[in-house]
Amino acid sequence: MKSAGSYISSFIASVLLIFTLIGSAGCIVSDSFLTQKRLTELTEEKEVSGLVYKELDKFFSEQYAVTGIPANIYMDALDDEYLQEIINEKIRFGFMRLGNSDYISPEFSNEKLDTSITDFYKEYAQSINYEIKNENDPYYAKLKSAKENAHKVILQYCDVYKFSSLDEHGVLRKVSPIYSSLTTMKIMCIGASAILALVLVVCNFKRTKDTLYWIGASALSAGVLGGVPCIYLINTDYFSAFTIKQSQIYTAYTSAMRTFTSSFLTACCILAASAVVLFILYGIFSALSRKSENKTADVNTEHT
Amino acid sequence: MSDKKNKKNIPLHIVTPVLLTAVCAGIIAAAAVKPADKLKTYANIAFMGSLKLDPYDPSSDKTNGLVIKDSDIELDYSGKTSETGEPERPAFGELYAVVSTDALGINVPVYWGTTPELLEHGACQSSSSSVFGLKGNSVVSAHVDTFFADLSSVKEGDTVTVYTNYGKFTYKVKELIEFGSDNRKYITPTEDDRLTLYTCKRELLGASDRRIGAICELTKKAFYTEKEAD
Repeated sequence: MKSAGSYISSFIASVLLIFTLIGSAGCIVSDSFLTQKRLTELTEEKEVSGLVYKELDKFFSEQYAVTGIPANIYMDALDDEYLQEIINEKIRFGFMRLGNSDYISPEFSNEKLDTSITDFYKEYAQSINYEIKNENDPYYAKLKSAKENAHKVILQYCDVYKFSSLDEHGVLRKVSPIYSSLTTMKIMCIGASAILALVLVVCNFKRTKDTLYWIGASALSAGVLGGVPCIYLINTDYFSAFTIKQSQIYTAYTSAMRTFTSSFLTACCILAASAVVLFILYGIFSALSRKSENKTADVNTEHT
Repeated sequence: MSDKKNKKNIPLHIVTPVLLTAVCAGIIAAAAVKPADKLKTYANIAFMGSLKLDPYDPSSDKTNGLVIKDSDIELDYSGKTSETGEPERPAFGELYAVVSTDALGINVPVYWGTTPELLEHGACQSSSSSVFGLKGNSVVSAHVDTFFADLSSVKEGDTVTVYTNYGKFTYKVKELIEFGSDNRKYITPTEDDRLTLYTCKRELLGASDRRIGAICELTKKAFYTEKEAD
């Protein structure tokens, strides 16, 4: 830090470098975490399909008072594997929409469920001696509506990341340009960081070892600025304070947020650790240059 | 001489990273206000009222016995239309329209009737106002922290489109308004066909007793005449 001019220019370049480093860390973590595969894996790890099953059981049990259809008519036809398949499809739908595609989810059929509801209706009609007159009998309309409603509810409960709701309100369409340009933003941030590092070399061309200090200081600040909020969120268990009505949505969202925060914290720790390495290198180079300066001074004294 | 200079530099070496962090923290705090607000709005829309409910307490589902009916609204009708037609009167608590404008950026569901529960699900149309397609004042309100977060960005001349399952109605923003919560001037019936959108004025802290909004004049009525709209 020879002059005020080089200090101020290095300071400004470092401020910019801090933002590009945080941006790089954020983009790298987002790009690797916000993927269909990662979110699907997360729902499998957390056994979200089991929670969907429990919530559906609770819903259909409560609905018994209104519909008169016992919950087991629906629940016996469902299993974790089938529910996980729909969860995966809903995640696929969300990411396709984020990728600006007009993708429409395929219809899910469940013959076992349809048969179960049909059998229940038949038995019920027989038990009350209801006579089905023809194909236009209200019996068929009721049966159709019961099946459609069951499928609709199951699809809703399996949309654990609420992609359909976000899509309906146009939120996915708004977020889509940001999501689509994540890789470009990542490359731009890394490129900008490299350019700013070169700017720091130019600012300190008389004492190039100072560049190590400035890059280290930037990396340390970036690590602290990104890491402190993450530590706060993790230590206070912030995400557990969310009270989302359905436990499968609660689990899916909170586990995704926790994993993302931990990954970002790891990236910030790497930045802080690289800052320490750069500071050590700066210390070593400073000591070496001091030694050589002292030697030169000694030689000059001997000559005089 | 060199040692003295190095000792002088030590405090500067320590202060610089602290100073860098402080400057950047200030910039981040100032720049993050708007994106954080947007994120909160989107989270509120995604979860609606459910963020405020306890997942393990069934009694916390505070809909107070209200039956909320979420109908699917046709947004891509491509069949024949007519300037005249018969609107369908919705049931209380029924989602019967969607309001869309560039400034809002999202499609806002409109429920018939106004209750705190319905306001958690979308915008609400006062049941004492006109159904879309009927002559008079259609009054729609929503929370400022969810569906009408960007209502203040609406400008005079903007186009507002209302979709229902019986027709599509296009309005143009004629006047931007601000009024007190006890002033009913803008929400009473009118002779002309208009749409009044309003929400609370955003305050830094606490609830506001001021309302902001827009009066929109009807420019086009298109009633659906083919069954496809159902």
